[in-house]
Amino acid sequence: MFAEYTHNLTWTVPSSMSLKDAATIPVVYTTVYYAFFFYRPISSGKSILIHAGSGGIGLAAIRVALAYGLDVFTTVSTEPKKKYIMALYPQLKGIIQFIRSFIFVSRLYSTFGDITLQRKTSEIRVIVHLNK
Amino acid sequence: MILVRTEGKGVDYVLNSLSEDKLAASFRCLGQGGVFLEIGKFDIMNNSKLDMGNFAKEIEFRAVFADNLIYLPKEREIVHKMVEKDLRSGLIQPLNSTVFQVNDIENAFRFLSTGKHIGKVLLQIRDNEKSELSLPIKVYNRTVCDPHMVYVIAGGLGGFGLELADWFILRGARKIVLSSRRGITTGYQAYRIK
Repeated sequence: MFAEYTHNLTWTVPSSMSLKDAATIPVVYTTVYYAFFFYRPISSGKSILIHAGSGGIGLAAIRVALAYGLDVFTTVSTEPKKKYIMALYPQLKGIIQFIRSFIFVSRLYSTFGDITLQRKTSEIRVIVHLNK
Repeated sequence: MILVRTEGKGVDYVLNSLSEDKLAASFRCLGQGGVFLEIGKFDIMNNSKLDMGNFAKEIEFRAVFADNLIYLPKEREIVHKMVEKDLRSGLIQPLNSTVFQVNDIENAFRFLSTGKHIGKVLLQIRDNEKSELSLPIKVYNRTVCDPHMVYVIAGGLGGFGLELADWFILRGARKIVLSSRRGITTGYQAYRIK
């Protein structure tokens, strides 16, 4: 039995990790590291908005961005996802919940544009519900 | 929201996977000198328009197609090293996953398309990676010949040689040399060679 693979796209699974867990790593983290560090490396103290924070790429990207000292904002589409991500990453600066529908999304984003410069807030975490 | 939380400044980076009007809105969330990291393909493949006015903030738009790494050995090596380092240090941790059995692949894709999943959706190929009994795919032993290679059959015009040539051709060989003392002498040989 043999396997074909691309050189430098495989890693040895740490002994403490199951193959099931390890399977969640290569595609998402490779994408995140390529995006974050290759051309214009992210750096501590900067801020980042990561969309779909509860997806594979989203979860990995938040972890890496927080570890490298960035302020992280993210978006999620459902209440359970929001709860999950708040529990996992309490350091998040903001979680925006939106509904997976074009009508609500467009309303959300017009809100992005409108509230913008008129209001300031000193709250640590703001969670906006726009699915009413 | 982003602009509120950042006191109107906007963010330094956006990692974007949204498309169309949502991409445009994310683009507006960038602050001065920000970088837009586009990992989605939808708008790029559709050659969508981008509002150039946003570039007044001296922002940068970078598309990131990690699949291109397959063709970029130097870049791949660099990314590999960075991931390796953070994997060993424990910074990189596994993600939440939902597991489907390999024969339930249709439901796995349906679940993925509803967008209810958190983290990754996995297909379990084997129950126990150490046991050959749990191999899911039946393997039929079959020799495969390389069409670019030349196969020489000594005495290839004999009965066995001609059958062997046939066997090679059925398995992908395209260049075969049949050696013989006398050349084609019988009708049957001529028929088979044809």
